Amino acid sequence: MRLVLLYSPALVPQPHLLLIAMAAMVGVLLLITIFILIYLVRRRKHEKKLEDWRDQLIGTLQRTIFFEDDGNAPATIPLTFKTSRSLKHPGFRQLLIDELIQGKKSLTGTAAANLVLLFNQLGLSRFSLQKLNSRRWHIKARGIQELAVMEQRQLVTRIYRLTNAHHELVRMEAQSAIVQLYGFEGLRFLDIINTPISEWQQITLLRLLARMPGIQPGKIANWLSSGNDSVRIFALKLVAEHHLHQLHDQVIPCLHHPHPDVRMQTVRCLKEIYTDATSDAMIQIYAAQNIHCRLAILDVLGAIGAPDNGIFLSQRLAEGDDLLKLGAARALIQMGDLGQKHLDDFPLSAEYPWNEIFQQAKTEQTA
Amino acid sequence: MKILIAEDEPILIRTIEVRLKKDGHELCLACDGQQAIDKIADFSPDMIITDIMMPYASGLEIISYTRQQPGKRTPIIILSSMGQEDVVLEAFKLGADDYITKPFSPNELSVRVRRLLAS
Repeated sequence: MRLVLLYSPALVPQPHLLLIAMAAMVGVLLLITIFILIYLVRRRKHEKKLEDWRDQLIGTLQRTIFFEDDGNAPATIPLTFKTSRSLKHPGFRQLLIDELIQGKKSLTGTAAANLVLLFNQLGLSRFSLQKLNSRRWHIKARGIQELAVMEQRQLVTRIYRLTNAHHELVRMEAQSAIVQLYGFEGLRFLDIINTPISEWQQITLLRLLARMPGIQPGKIANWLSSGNDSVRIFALKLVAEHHLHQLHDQVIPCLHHPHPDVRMQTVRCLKEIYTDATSDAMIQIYAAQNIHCRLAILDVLGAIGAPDNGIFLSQRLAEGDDLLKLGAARALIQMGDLGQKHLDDFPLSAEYPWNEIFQQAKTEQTA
Repeated sequence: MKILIAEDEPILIRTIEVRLKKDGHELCLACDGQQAIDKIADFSPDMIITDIMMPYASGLEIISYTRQQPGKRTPIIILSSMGQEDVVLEAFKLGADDYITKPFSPNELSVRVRRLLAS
């Protein structure tokens, strides 16, 4: 048998070419290793510098936090010569700003006021303002946050322009900043924005507003008829959160809004501000809603507990969908003795699936 | 009085340290939960001030550990962030005595410490 040669001598590289290729590979690896080493050394140097700066700043920050104004002259927080000199370095300045921001977020009272005083004394707002001109969104957002946390109200116009910015995260930061600085009054950007407010941003704004006085029902009434659906939804949440019963009649028309999310939020809102007229309005729209909205309506009718609601709810026990049957049963149990009577009087209460549905609703109530 | 402070935020721990030292207390600092637990036995604090969210062990674990120790009942103040109501309630169930919400004033903390130690 002859062995078949599977290779041609022409394919075997010549020794000197092989050596050149190996040398090139070793050279590349060496270069990569050198770059990595240089990078690591530079990074270590930078971290050491940051550490030194942080140690330097500890004293400055503690002096600032516990500074007591003697009232005789404009308050000036004393700085060491080393700190004043280091301020020329952008890295040191940014570290100082970061520490001031961190401190301001954690402290209140005189301590917080002193941190703002130092921020103003050193004119650090112009560096934060410069960030608003950056093309990178995260730098813009950072600048907005710095100005808001350090209470730079005189620069609100620059921030306000960004409440309708193209980039969502810049918008969110600007909107939160305005509310932080001006409370409810700051929400006037809702008059003009044509971009949606995300669910998360709505939660953030509600959380910020929870601690602030000065709610303006008149403005909220305008937002209830906004062309921006997310603004409407947010306004409904505000009405619910603050139990603005006086806006009940302005909320009712939202039950007929074409967007299901608006209708859903309206139902949830009405649970917090219902009147005698609420039940009829809900019952009127019930048939045209999707299952989630119907379940929400049943819940609200149970919470309102009017006698006529019991009749409507017991009729819903005959609904095709078992979830709706369960929703109706839960609502009737919410109504107490009156609702319980409807359950007991339901002709099919002993039959499947009603017996199990009623049992589940009762168990949930007692749990 | 000897006070153990457990807080992972450098600026806060330094601020609390300066303020309470001014009141004449002897302090022991811990930058994470596990460090705080390790120091409780050595330092035998008269009071513990602890953050809730910390690396390695939370403030709740510190409270739990402290309440399991025999001997005197050490008063505990927790530092909570806004929106941590459930955690604060849990801390009280485990045996915390008081809480202060961030952001807070160092002077307010000083008053609360004084009041709790006096009681």
